[in-house]
Amino acid sequence: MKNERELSGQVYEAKEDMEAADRLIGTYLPFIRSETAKFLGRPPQEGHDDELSIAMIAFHEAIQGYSRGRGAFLPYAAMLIKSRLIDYQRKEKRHKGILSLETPAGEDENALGDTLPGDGDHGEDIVMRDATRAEIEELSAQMKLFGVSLTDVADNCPRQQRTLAACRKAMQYAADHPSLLDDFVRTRRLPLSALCEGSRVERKTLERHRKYLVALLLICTNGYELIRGHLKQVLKGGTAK
Amino acid sequence: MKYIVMECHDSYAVLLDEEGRFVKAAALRYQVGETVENPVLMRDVSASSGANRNARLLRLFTGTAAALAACLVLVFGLRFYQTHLAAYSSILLSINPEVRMDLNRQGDVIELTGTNEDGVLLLEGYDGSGKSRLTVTQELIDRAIDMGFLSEGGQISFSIDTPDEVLFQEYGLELRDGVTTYLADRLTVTIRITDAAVIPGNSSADAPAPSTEPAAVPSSEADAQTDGQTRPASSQSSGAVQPSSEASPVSTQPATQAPTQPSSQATAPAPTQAPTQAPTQAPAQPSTQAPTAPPSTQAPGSGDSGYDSPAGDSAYEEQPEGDSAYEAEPENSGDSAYGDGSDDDD
Repeated sequence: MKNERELSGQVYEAKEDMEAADRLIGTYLPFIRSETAKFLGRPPQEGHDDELSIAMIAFHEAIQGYSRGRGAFLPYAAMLIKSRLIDYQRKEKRHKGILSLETPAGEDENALGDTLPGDGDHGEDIVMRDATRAEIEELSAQMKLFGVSLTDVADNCPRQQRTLAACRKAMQYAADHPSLLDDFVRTRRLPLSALCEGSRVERKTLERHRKYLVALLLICTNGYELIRGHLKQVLKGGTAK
Repeated sequence: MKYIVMECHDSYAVLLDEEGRFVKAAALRYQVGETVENPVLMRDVSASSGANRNARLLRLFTGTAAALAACLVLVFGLRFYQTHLAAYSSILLSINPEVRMDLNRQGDVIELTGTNEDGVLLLEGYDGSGKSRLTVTQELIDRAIDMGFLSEGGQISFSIDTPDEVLFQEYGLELRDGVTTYLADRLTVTIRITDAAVIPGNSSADAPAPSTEPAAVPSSEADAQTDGQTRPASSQSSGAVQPSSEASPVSTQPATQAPTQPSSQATAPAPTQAPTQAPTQAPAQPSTQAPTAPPSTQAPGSGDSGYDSPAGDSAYEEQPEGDSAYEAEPENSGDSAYGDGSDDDD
């Protein structure tokens, strides 16, 4: 009983703090693993079975969604893990009956995938990925200066399409006014009033998504071409609407 | 939708989608910088279950309250409808114009319909809904007088159609008394009241059925009570019978009417009853009709009395058809009980 209360206290703490959640998951990894094993009927292999990752993300959801009114935490988490695994299995079932590219094609030694005409260099992909990774690392380093982590941004990200569009509008305005961005990087302060005046977005909306805006504005500054390229096509479409 | 893997943790990864959303997802062997499709995103589970429960309770409560309110409205609405809006009984008023009054349970008029041409004419521009039956009757009689449908010596008949015998008696008495007193100073008319409910389709009172009780204005009770007073009046009136009919300006109509009734009587094959009863009624009626007339100073001269005799005759003469019931019944105490029976008792 005492353990139970302690655990729910920890869960409540983890709701606010993603790192605490990560720690909690570390502590309860055996539990998660056992739940996954119950589902799979065999022990999951780390780094091989996607189910384990799914179970972990389900545990995260359980932390977020838990409240004392829902009873003990662990049964709740177990239920959530199970249902998420079932969802995943159903989703994967759709691809059943589709040949893997790895299966040998005919009498040749070559795998099926190799018989397809190549759609670009793998090397280029890897280079691309490395470049992107470099950008991302740079970005998270810069964000650290602002006291914002990518996880924070993910938590702070607007859920509603309308809010998202409003934030994008502010970002567009900043991108059109490089001096704003310079000031932003130098002073490490969000030019909120300039943004809401310029983009006519409500200040409250922007204030609520400060961390998200920091990430967005940083992406607008020099040096993040690849990330911007990822966003660009939609951004253009989005602003055109 | 493509996602860039931004950050990888043991238990989750942060991805950036093409619309600029940062999302958390299951870390399926991802590497930072990788572009992935179909990730397993972390769902938004609202933790506010407590609030949810409250909301649910609130919804339950408001739902129940609304349902209860609806039931109440329904019950009371139905009751209101039944007592105020639904037609419960009806009175067919016929002078010459025929008007049907539909009454609700409370006896107030909800609808007026003219059942013949004159009736429609009579009702033109008149709205009687919501008024009491007596008011409407009186107002309609006023209109009828104004429009020339009703004049001295005329006849008003009410055919009351009600599912309730008690109600019939109540309405009948009320209408008769109300109209009699209302017209007391002005006109003398014959009032007949029949119960349409007892024998359907026979409101015309022509049917020899015992149920029809044409109650001639001559209320015998008035007669009985006011004997002292009325006697002289009646004597006057009776004396004035002939003269008045000629003298009074209005008398043209009584004169015209008078013939019609005798004729009806004539047409009606009067059974042997008629003669025998005639004498018995004859003395009663002059006096009974007098009360309506004498109070008015003009009455003696105005030919009420003149009408009296025809009216009395008519009442009596109709007996072959309807009145026979009325007269016969005082003794038989059948349907006529409502008016005549009581009178007789008195």
